[in-house]
Amino acid sequence: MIADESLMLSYGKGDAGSFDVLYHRHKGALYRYFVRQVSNQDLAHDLYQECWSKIIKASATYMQQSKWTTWAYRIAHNLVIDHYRGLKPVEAEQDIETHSYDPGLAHDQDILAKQLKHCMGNLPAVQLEVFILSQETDLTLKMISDVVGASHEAIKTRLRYAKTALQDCLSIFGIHSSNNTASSEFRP
Amino acid sequence: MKDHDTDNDFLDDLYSNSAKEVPPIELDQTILKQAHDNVHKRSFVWRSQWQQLFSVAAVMVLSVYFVFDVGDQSLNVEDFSHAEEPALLMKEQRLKAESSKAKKVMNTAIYESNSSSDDLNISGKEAFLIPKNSSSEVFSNEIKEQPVEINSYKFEEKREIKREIKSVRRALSAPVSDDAESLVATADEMLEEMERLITEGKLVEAKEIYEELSDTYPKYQVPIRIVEALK
Repeated sequence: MIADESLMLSYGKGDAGSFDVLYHRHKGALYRYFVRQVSNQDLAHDLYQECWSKIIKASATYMQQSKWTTWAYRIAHNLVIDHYRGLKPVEAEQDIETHSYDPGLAHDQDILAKQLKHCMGNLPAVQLEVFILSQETDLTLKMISDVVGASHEAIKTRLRYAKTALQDCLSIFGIHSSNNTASSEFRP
Repeated sequence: MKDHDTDNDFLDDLYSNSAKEVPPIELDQTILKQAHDNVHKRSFVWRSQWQQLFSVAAVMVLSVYFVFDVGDQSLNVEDFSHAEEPALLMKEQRLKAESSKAKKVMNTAIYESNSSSDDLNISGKEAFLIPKNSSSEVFSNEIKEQPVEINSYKFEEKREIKREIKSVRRALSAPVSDDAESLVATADEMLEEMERLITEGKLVEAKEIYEELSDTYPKYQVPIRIVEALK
């Protein structure tokens, strides 16, 4: 597999196909990075598009000084910071609380996903961002600290708090990590 | 980065199962189109920049070429003007030398024409003290050793000088030879010159040439129409 950096350099030299590969490789993760942090989906789309625009414009001057993912997510992070600082994280599914629990659907992945999104929506923005980056990318904590502009220790702390909060939230829906699988025990 | 915290693998699994959002196709197409347009735009800008640079470079090269070319030409003109001076001096000296030689040739021709005809009236040529019996070659050699002396003029000095100048000119234009036939041809040229001057209405000049022709070539038959025209 061609490295992201090579694809970016190739695109900077005029190979549009390299960008296609790069885009399809990262579009989902980057999209979710915005969608799960921004409450308004349209605004999330705008930010997502603007992020790629910045990447495209910067391609001519791109230099392989760091991992492409680090560089790209730093752009995304700055966009979120610039435009949506202070906004509440996305309220993933507003009807999650009112969703009537059906034990037959306890293991349904869609339900679990909705519950997770709901819990993620309750996370502080800084913890949510670190959690998303840790899940969506292969960045190390050091790289994430470079992206968000925080210290390595701060990133570790944020990630630990985020996971603890998510576990607590998910436990409300009877989802425990005791057997390393997502299980649901409805506890009204 | 799924291995940050192995204690929370279930969260990773849960997240990966829930991470199914993808951008809409329209957004994909918009971004990809923008990326492709950017490539074309960059190539266009790159070409434009190179064209501009090339144009500027070409103009500069041409300007430098013209500046130096014009400079060279002006230098050449100056050099030519300076170089021409010695050439003109040499030409002047050569003309002087040839005029003296032509003078000798003319005297030789006169001598031969006098010697070839017994009834030739040489009263007007007494000024030339040339031995009658010597051949042209011997005479030429003698002439080289001693200059021709003109003891006396029967004509006005000024007129004689003019005539001599004209004859020298003709001698210079004609091939320098001791052959009398070539001098007869010179008389023909004088006749042609007279005809031309008569045609142009310059009768005074034509008359001068006629007198010169008569003096130099007394035996030469000038056409009656020219004589009539000069009267």
